[in-house]
Amino acid sequence: MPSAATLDVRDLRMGFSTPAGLIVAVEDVTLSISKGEVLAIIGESGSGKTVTAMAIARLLPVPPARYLEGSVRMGEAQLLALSEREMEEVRGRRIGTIFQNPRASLDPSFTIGAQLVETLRRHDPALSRTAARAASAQALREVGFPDAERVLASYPHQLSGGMCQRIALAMTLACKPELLIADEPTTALDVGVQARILMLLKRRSQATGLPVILITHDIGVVAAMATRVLVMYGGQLQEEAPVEDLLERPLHPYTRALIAAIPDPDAPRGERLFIEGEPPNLADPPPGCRFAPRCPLAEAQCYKVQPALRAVGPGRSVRCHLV
Amino acid sequence: MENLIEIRNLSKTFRIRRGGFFTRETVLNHAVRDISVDIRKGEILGCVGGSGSGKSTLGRMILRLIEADGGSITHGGRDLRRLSAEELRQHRRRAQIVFQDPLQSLNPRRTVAENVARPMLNFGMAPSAAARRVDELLEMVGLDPRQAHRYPHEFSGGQCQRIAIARALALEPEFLFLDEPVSALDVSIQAQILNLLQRLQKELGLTYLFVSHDLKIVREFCDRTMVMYRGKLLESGGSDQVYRAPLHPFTQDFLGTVLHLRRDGRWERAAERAEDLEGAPPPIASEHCPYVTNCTHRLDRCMTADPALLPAGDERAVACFLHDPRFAAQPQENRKPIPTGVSA
Repeated sequence: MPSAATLDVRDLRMGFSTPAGLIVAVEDVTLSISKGEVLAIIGESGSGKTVTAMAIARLLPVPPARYLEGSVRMGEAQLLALSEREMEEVRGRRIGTIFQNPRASLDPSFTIGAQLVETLRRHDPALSRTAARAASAQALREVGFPDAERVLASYPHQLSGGMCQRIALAMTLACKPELLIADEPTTALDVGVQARILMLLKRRSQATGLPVILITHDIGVVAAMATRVLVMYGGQLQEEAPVEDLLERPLHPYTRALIAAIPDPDAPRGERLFIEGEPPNLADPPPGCRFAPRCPLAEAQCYKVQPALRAVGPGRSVRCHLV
Repeated sequence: MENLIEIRNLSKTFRIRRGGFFTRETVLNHAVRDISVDIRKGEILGCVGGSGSGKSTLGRMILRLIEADGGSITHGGRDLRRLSAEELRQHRRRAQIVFQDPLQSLNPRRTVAENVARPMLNFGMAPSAAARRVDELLEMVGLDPRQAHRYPHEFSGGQCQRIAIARALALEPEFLFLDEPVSALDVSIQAQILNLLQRLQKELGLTYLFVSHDLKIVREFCDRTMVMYRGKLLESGGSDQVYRAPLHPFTQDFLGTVLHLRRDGRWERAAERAEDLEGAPPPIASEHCPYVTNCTHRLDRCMTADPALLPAGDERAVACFLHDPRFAAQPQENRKPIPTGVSA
């Protein structure tokens, strides 16, 4: 069944083999993203948000990771059926990725210029060295470096974390991917630097229609960036909604708690709502709803019966007995 | 209110060796420049700023984990910079620190009990008494003492931060320097740790210096807030006032980039201008306001003189000529930021 979506993930189930047995880190994740969308996946550590994103790009080493079920389709290609070599092509040309620690994506022993030129020439072998250098400078100007030449001559350690992240972004965007996966791209950075990088990402997505899967734990980032949101908890999707609906009428108690945790900048300061307890241990998940042990509204059935993800309106679904 | 800690004209300059093996070059980094501030007994003082603003250096100088170059720090009337080695060791009972990364600040090869007991054993407490106190401390921070024989890696980030707090409290200090204690934690856990710190502060009558780059948290958690940029103290006052009516243009711009849930375009406008909040040194050599390059309200005077921190009423202070009655009358216009060069 062909669709207009850039990426289609169905019933993805990911596990990890550990000495203590198989741990299912992601269960029954279905998602799709089309041109022009910024799909935010929000959740805390252990929610499965990063595993989902990494599984799509097949960046998790197998083993210990195991694809237990599901399909990941990009156009005609079934990504899970590709050989590692074919997948490398997909990662180089069709899926771009940026990560939380920008320094880790740059090689400390080469100048920024050398790394950009190599990336661009690998992407397009017909490109001459001079042309690649010019394209590199252009890519840097597009992410806000007016003095691109100076940056090209620098080594990563001579630049700040924010600059390195902008360069990683420039490098990824220069390869003109069909889909960008950004895993907590601004978590390690200051608010000001964060604002700058998120704006670059947003403008690029708006200008070219580049679909972005944005992994974050910050509902503020979601509000600023997303068109659509998936809320993950305990390895499962808990809620999916267009961003306005999610922020104005969150349905899942977990989503409501996430939103209540952010104080209104104009409201007087006061007690903020917070969630007691710790996220579930996925080696031994609770039998009912994954959130039940921390949920202020949980009833008897929530502890026993696992709720299913149900559609509750256009583009909206939620996994909760009480909705 | 009585002052617990008084800081006067405190400065610190780091020398950074740069360049290749043969081309040695020294760059001076003025991490903290001429800061004077009081920390009142029983208050939570917040300190905000971007990375490189000097906020962490300031806190570490108060504990003498970093030695100041100039100025003075008195804690309970004693001049900290003149303490002998033994006096400084004894002073550690009074002032402790909680770091950002709880897992890195605990000894991974020691059990939780050993980690928390260490400071007490260092100060000569009998092991049996220390063990009893460990149980007490763990209960105080909301952990089960029966888990004290486990190792830090068996606990979550939030639990490790509770352990680190228990250890910091072991010697019954009166002052804690909290260096981004919740930045590495999930949002739901952040609130738990902040509530714990708040409860402990009230119950034990503690004084905190709380450093963070998250203005939302500082506003909620701290009684007063000081705003730092490039080593300078630009503004201070009641947290709610600084947050709701910031005086310094830097604070206004910085606040604008704080993410919030309203999608009204305010964040986008601030984000477009966020270029220089990163704190690259400006290209101008002479004395000037540290924020001059990115400030859209600057006066001619801001380019040639560095404004001093002056009282601005209502227990507030600001270092900005716009709020100095002698200069504020000068005409000002909205100006474009001066483009800064790339710097390392």
